[in-house]
Amino acid sequence: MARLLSIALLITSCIWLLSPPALAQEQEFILIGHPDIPVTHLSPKTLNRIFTKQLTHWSDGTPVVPVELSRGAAREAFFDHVIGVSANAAKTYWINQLMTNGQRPPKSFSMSILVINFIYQTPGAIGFVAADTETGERVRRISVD
Amino acid sequence: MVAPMRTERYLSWHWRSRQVTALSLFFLMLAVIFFAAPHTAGAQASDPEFQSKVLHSTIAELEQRLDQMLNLNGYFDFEYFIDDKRNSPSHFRQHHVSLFLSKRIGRWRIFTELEFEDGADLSASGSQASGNGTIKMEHGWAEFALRKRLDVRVGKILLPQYWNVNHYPSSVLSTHRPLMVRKVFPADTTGLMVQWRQTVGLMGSTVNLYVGNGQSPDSSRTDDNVNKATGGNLRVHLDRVFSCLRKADVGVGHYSEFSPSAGGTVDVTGVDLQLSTRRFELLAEGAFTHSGNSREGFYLQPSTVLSGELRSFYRYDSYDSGISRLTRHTVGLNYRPMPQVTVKLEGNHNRDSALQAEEYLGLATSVALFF
Repeated sequence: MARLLSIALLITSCIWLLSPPALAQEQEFILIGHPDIPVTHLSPKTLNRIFTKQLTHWSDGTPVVPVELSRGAAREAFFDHVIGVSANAAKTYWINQLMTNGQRPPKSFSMSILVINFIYQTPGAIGFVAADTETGERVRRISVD
Repeated sequence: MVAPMRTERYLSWHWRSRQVTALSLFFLMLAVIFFAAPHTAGAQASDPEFQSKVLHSTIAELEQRLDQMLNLNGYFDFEYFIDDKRNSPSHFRQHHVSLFLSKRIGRWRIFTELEFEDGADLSASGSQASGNGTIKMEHGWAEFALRKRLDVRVGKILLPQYWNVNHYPSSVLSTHRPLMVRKVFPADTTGLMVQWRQTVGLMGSTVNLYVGNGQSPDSSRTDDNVNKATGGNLRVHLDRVFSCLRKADVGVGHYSEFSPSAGGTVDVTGVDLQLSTRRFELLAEGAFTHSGNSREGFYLQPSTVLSGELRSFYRYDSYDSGISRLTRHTVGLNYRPMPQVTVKLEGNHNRDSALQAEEYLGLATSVALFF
């Protein structure tokens, strides 16, 4: 009986250790914005509207400027868990927008530090960076509801 | 006499000492500039704040240069069809090579799609033209952002019904377009369109109102329609109301014109619906004419993600031309190995209610590339 319990405990521990916890998935990116944007938290639906350029202005009238990481796990996690589509599906969306409406996708940078610099220098900017990035005091961290 | 001499000496000494002080200060400043300047520049160069500003300025300058350039994109698609109709050999079709040219100039946007269809090989002399294929401007317009939610667009404009706008081989699931598309609701007009976006509570809406030339021949250049073609479309975005849905759009549109070449008044109403979750999507669209030549049609297209970028879909099509009724069932697969490439395979069963028409099965496959 004790042997069976030990095996069961071992298997449970292995499953628990190997399966990626939901929290770890959420922590693969950090959402940040220019210090002056009038929000501290946003819902996934609102973020969807921001990153599809449907929401164009903040409540204070400042233009919304979304900015993305062009590759990496943070990009995959952000689109998968927050926007609700794969990063590839997001690219497909912009291909369609470009063909039907001439609309171009948000600016994108290959490195988190470039995203932070851009957001710091651009009023109304909002974007995401890799979770292990030191964002400092220059940008505002925004939570996802 | 003594006092003035003392005063002169004092003034002379005072003046000389001031000169010495000024000279000393001047040399001191030179020394500071000489020794401190390289040190300051060094400090600036290593300052992250300074580096960030330099980087941002460089990016802004590059973006400005890119904005001044013309954007060029496009797509290519190639198809193969086979069916069991009599006297209908299978065939390849190099359908489109389309080029999108776009540019933003301040609050203006200019967009043009030039389409080379069916391996266009045309030659012309005077009013005579010969050859195969088509070269045309699918749509081309200039748009001015009047206010943050109000745009005005002029040119050759796609009318804002769902498949009219979202018809590109790189974005639609099927190779064949629905039977009703472009046969009931007109595809485009040359004129002016106003677009207004508004959010009320959780509900978003987009309103398009347009006036343009009717569907007469040579309608991009002239018009035989005295009152012009007029119409509008209201699209309601309900995805924030129904939180389980990623997209929930309902659109209703109307088009009206008096066209001598079309035999009188043409009134068309169209509705469309797009519902999607992470894995499922339902597209539906219908249109019918109120007057003149009676035509109507609709399609219903559910689809689902099978795995990764592989989707399967089914579509039921119906189109009534007033003379006969065509129906089609289509089952297909759509695979995107990468966002720019789409590979499609579909089978369809077609039926025409006209007595002489035959029932047949067809197969279509295609590849579309966006560049």
